[in-house]
Amino acid sequence: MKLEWTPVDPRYTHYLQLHALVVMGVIAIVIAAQYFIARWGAMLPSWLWSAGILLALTLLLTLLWAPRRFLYTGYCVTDDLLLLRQGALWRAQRGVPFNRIQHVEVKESLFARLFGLASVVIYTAGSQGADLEVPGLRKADAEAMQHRLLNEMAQQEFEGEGDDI
Amino acid sequence: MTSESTASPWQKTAAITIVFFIAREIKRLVTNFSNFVPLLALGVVGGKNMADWVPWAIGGGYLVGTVVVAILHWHYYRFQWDDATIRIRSGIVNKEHLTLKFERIQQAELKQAWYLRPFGRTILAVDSAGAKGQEVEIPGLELAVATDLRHQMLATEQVATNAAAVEAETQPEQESLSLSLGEVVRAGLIDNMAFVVLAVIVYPLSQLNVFENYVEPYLDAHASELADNGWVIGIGSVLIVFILMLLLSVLASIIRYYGFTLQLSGHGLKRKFQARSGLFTIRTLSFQYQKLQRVRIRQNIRGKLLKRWAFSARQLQPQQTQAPGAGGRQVFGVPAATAELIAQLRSEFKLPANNGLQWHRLSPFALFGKSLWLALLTPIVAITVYLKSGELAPVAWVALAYILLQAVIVGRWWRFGWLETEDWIAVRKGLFGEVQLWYPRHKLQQIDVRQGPLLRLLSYAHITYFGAAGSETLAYFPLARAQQLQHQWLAQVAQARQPWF
Repeated sequence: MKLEWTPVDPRYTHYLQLHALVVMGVIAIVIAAQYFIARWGAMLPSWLWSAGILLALTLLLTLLWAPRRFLYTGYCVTDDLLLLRQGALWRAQRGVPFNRIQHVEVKESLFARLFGLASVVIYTAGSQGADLEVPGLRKADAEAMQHRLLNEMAQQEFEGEGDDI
Repeated sequence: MTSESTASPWQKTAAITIVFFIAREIKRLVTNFSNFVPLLALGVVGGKNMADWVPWAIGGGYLVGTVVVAILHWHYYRFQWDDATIRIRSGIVNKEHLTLKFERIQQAELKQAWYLRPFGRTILAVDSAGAKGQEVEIPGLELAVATDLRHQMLATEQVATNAAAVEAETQPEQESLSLSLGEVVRAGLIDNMAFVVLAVIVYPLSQLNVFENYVEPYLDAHASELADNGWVIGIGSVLIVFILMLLLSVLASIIRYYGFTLQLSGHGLKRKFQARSGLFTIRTLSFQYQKLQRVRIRQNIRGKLLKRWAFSARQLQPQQTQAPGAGGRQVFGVPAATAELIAQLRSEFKLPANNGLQWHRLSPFALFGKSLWLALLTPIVAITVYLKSGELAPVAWVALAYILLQAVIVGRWWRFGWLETEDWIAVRKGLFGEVQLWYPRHKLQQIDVRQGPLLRLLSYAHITYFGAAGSETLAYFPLARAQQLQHQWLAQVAQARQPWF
C-alpha cells in the first residue's frame, strides 16, 4: 500500500524554532543565575564556555533539528485510519483506526496561535493521555480534520450493540 | 429534592457504614501522607522543646477529626435509583452529585466487608466507562438489595447488546469450579506480591537502624561463635527472610482467596465469569468475555516447582487517577491453576492450546542494543575497579558479571517469542519462568513503527501495539516488514465490527 503523506504547514518550522529558543532561553537564565551564586560560580567553567555550548546547541536546534523535524512530520488519512509520522533523529509512525477513536480535540497552544497554527488531538480508550497529536495545522485545516474524524466516528457500526456506541 | 415517579426515594445508608467512611478517611490519610511531611519535619526539628503531650494531642486530634469527618460524610450521603440510573449525593462542604447510567457500567462488584457481614450488608462497587473511568462505592446495602441492583445494572447491558447472544453455543447454563485451601496456599507460594512489598519496605526499614541498634549488639555478644560460622549465619538469615515472606504471602492469599469459586454462565461473547472469594471480606468480581482486553498466563520458578500457573484477564483500564479512598482495582483471575485448569481456561477464553504454538523469535539484531551498552560499560567498570584496588582479582569478578549479564540478555532473547493467530497477537517472555500475554487483535487501538538513528542505519524498526489494557513492543524488524505488519494489523482493526469494550 503506497501512502500519500500530507505535510504540515511550513510555519510549523518557525513554531519549533520559537519553542527551541524559549526552552534554551530558560535554560540559559537558570545557568546564568548559577554564576551569581558564589559557591557554585567557582566550580563552573568560564562563562564563555557555557555561553558557547548553549549557543551551539541553540543553533543546532533551530537551524538543523527544527527544519528536519518539519520535513519528516506528516499525516495520512485513508478510508478507515489516520497515520502520523514525526521525529527528526528518532522517528515514529503511529496509526489509529477510526473505530478506536474516543474523542477528538482541536488544540491551540499559545505559541501555535502566534503562527496561526493548531493541532488535532486524538484520544483512544483507557490510555493515560493524548494518543496522537497532529501538530502544525492551519486552524481551518485542523477544524476540517476534526469534523471529518467526528463524522467517521459517527458512522461506525458495531455488531450486537445498541445505538449507544 | 426531585425524584422521578419510578425512582426510589433518596436513601441514607445504615449506621454501621460509618465504619466504611472511617476506613475511607484513614485510606485517604495514608494516601495523602506526604502532605504531613512538613508537619512531621516541624515536629522533629522542634521536638526537643515540645512538651511530651503535644505529639499525643496532635495524633489524638487527627483521630477525633477523622471520626467526625467520617460521621459527617455518612450523614450527608444519599443515593437513589430507578431502572436505568443510580444517583449519589455526597460531600460535606463540596457537594457532589453523581448520575451513573446502568448501560455505561463496566463492572459491578459486591464486597462483603468483614464489618458489614454480621449485619447482612455489603458494598456495591461500580466501574463506569466514562472518559475518566470512575469507581464508585455504595456502602451498607442489604445483600438482597445489592444483588438485585447489581443484577439490574448488568441486565440493562444485556438488553442493549442482546443481538450478540444469537450465536449461542450449546453449553450448560451454569458451571462452577472452586479452589481448595491447598490451592489457595499454593497461590500464596507462587505470588510475587510479598517480594515486591519487601523491596518497597527495605529502604524505610534500613532508615530505622534496626540492624545497628539490635542485630549488631547481639552479633557482637556472640562474636566468638559467629566468627567461625559467619557464612552459615549469612545464608541462614537470607533463608529466614525468604521463608517469612512466603508465610506472609500465604497468609495474604488465604485472606484474599479463601473459598475461591468461579462461576461460568452465558454463551459466546456474553459468557460471564464470576469469581467469589475472601476470608473476612468476601468479594464478588465478574467479567464478561466481550470486554476482554488482555489475558495473562504466568508461571514463575516457584510456579514451575508446584506445577501451577496464575491466570488473569483484564478489561479496559481507565486512568489510574482514582478518587482517594476508592477501593483498589481488582483484576479478574485464578491465582493458582493446574495444567488441566489452565487448559480449560484457555479454551473458555478461546485461546489456542499451548502445545504446538509457533512462537517467532526476534531478529538477532535485537541482542545488539543491550549487548552494546553492556560491552561499553564493562571496560569502564573494570578499569575503575582496577585503578581503585590495584589488584586483578576484582577485575575477574567484573568479567564474570559481564558473562552472566550477557548470558541473561541472550537467554531472554532466546526465550522471547511472539505470534499472531486469526484472533490474537501474543508475546511470551521470561528467562526461568514464563509469561504469556494475549491481546485480542481486533481490539488493538494504535500501532507504532519507531526508528532511532541506529535502526535507521540498519533499516530496521520496532513495532509497538497498544491495547486498552497495555502495550507490547516487538523489537528489530526489517523496516519493510514492520510497516507491512503495521498496515495489515491496522486494516484488520479498522474492518472489525465486533463490539470491543
